[in-house]
Amino acid sequence: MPDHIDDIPGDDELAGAFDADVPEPSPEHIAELRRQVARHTRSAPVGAVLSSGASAETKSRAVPVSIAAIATVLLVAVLAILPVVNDASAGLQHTLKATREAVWIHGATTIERNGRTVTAESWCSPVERVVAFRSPRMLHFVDYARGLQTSYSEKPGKVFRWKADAGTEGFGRRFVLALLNDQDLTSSFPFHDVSEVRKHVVSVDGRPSTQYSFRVQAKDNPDRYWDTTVRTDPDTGRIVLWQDLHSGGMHVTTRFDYPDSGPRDIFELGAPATVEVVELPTPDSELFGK
Amino acid sequence: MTDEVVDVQLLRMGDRDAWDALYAATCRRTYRVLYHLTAAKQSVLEELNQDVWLSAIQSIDRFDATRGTAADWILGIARHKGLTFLRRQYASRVVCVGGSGDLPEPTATVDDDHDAVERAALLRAAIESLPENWQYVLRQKYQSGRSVREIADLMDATPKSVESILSRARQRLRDLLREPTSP
Repeated sequence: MPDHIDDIPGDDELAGAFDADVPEPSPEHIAELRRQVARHTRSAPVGAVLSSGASAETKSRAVPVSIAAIATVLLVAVLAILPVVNDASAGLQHTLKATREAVWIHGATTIERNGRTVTAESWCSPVERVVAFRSPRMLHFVDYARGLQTSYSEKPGKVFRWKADAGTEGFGRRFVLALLNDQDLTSSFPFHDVSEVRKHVVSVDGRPSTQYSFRVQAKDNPDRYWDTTVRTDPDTGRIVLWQDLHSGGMHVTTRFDYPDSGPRDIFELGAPATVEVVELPTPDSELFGK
Repeated sequence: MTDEVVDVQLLRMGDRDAWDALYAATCRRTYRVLYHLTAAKQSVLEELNQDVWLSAIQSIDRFDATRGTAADWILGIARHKGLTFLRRQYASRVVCVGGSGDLPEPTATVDDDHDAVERAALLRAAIESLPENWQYVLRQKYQSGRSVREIADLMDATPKSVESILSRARQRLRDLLREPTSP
């Protein structure tokens, strides 16, 4: 028995590999297994606690998810995953391409909900493989080139540094995927449908600007959705505005610009230079070969 | 998107909603991967699929997000489980042939046949593990025999983007077929 198969599939082999009659699992199996998965998992507050399993410090450290990070990821990831099925989607793909060619992308995000406003900033550099976030509650810096991430908040007033893959699926893996790969839309919005992808031309300061819009709707609750608007720069084709209007009343707006440089580490992001840096060891379960 | 941002962390924490979202997006694909590899009957496939998901929950600490998405990871578990089952089935068939334990020497023909069957199964499972729009392009190209231009017209995309998908899909298939397959 071969330990691996290393020749490349030929055209005929590929042609014969598509089975037209693949059975689907029964609804009973889907439902029962879903119940089993639920029994083996538990409810947990979203983004409440980051746990690497490495140390007590890690387990007790609260790391809220930066809203600016969410907005940036949403911007890049959604553009990367929208299927190329019509002119609007193709236009969005083109916009993504133009955007990811920037050396640095900076977003200023405003979140309005129930009369309360929160602001945050985010940076990312596809070239440098760096992502950074700053909100009133925390600083977070991810260096994918070095495989490290750091986080700082006033309490406990330390910089934590650990492996870049822990907790970085959103603004790490998705970001890289957005740069390098196609993703299908449904798997990136579990439980949601994306519809009404449209392209418009609007006038901004007397100049025509291309704008895209679409709706993301929860499958199990059609009343829960958000409408997204993406506006592009008429000269560069890059994104200048991303806006989500949620059915629950929350408004998230990110305005983008493209500076020549950005923060290179957590200290340039604003962490005091004198604070203690705590290295979080890689858990045994994640060591190579385990 | 909030869920999207934190999902791996939540998976590591055993968060029910995160697992449910991954399950909803991927459970049919793991089932189909198992079918491609084993061609087993429904009750066996359901058992294997259950094993895939419960194993994934137990071994989430081993998931390395730098090497792929959570969906990639769990589809890899399905390929591993399916292949293990396939080989056990093959071994048990050989024992049956031997009857009293006096096993026949395996012939080149038997090995070749089995390797061909296994390779075809691995290829189908690998295709099932690709993003769905990549599968669509491969199907149009190799099963329907459409040209790149025709596929581009179907998708309202550029031929260049179709070629790019084809190239990446073939590379990914190559990588998946080169995965160590010894269970």
